[in-house]
Amino acid sequence: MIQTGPVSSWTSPDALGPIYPFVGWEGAMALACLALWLGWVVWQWRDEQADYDAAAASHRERRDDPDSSSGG
Amino acid sequence: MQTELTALSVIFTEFYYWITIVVMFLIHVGFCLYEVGVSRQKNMLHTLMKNAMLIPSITISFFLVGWWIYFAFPAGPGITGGLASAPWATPWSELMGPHLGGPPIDPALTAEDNAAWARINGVFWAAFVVFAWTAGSILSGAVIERIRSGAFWLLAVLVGSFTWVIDAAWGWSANGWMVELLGYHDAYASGVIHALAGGSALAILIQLGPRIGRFRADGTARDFPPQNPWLVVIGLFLIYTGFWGFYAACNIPIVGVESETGATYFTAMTIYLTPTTLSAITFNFLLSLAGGLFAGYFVSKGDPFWTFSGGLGGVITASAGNDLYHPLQAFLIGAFGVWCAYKLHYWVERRFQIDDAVGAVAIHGYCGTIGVILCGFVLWGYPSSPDPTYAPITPWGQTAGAVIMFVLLGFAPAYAASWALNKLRMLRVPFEVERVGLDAPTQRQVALAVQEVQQAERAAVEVRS
Repeated sequence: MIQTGPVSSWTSPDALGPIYPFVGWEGAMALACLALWLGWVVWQWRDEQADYDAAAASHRERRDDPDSSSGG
Repeated sequence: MQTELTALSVIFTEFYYWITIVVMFLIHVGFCLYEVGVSRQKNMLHTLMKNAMLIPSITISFFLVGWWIYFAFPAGPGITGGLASAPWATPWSELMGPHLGGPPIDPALTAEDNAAWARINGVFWAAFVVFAWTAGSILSGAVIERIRSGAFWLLAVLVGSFTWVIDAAWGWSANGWMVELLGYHDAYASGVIHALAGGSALAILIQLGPRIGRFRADGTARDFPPQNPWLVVIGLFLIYTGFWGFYAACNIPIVGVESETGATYFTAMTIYLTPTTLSAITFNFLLSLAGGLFAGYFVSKGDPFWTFSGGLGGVITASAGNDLYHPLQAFLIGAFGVWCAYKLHYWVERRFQIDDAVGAVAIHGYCGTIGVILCGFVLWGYPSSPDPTYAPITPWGQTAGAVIMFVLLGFAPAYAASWALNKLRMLRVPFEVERVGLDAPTQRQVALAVQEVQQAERAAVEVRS
């Protein structure tokens, strides 16, 4: 049977240490989460910049177009 | 946990911190409501998302780095010693996850320590994470309606997961070098959270600049009234409630002290391992709140915004010494701090055209700094620690501590980071976007969605008729 964690029985809880799955992979999980967070930061900065570029262009267009009502 | 008394004490402590964390979550709810209430309708959603998303940003960075800094940096490193070992606080530690306290993970940990950390680590960590969110939220209100979200989250991580936790290691831990050498005393974080975050907010505001239209040609400020005063008031009352939980979270609920008489004395303790009681801090929390409310009402001539902010400022001013003050001292200190902060806020605003949208620099930065310094006079000569070799509390130790909090760890790093972001044109939203409103694209999408549904409804009516 596949076993992902160190717990095979709950009969002696005082002898148990960590009870989560994949004990021993904590360093790799920390690196993976660090990479995920940094990746999210980079993605968010690019996405926000693209949104502002589009919004600023749209606002300028609406301001310069006398037939268009301005937002805000 | 070999005895029933030890087990009861540890599991009670675990439960105690868990309760304080839930109560403290209201601080963040309050900050969100407050900021949304203050911001104009065209910026409400941006304001909400900016504050709410600091939660995941600070939480993951605090898990990866912040918790280890708190235990590793009390001696500087390089001031009274090197980096301390903290095997329970590294992100790869077994004790940073579900653990039943079995065999010790490190030779430096006894079986009793290991069992205690297995129970306490998560709740103690979470209390500090919520403090870190608060530090980030203090910045958040000051900079609304013109800062880029990405820049803000980066600055919030700098303060929440680095600078605040370095100052906590230095001045808010039983063996911090500031406690040992300066006799620094700041039981409920006037300096370590509020002065630091206020100093950081001031630095960012200098780089960020005021909102469009905030100042007239003669340099006086135009009023931007809160778009929803009721949200502001509810938000501030929730912050009061959460702050009360914060006071409890700053204590260690039950410790047995071996007295020189040979008896064991059970008591609650401050973060400095000096004895206190929940009764004492409840007296002082409410009296400093009352003093701040009175002073805020008096100095602003009954303005609701400053009156309720004044209540918060009163507690913040008295917090450094609220473990030891008499309640009437807490009342007077709270009132004095709020009066000073109000006057300073308007002087700085006029003199330097600083646009602090919610008065965060005043209520947190000035009140916190004044509170730390006043504590040095009122508690002059008190021992700062049970360790008799540590310096006692003095005005000069507290003043040096206030400078370290507000300037060295608050203002300076945030100024450097926001200066760099500004140079890269990554700090402030483009002019056109700010003028029209940060929510304009979302509002347009909502309007289009509503229009489409209305058209569909009209078409459905025509089919039926």
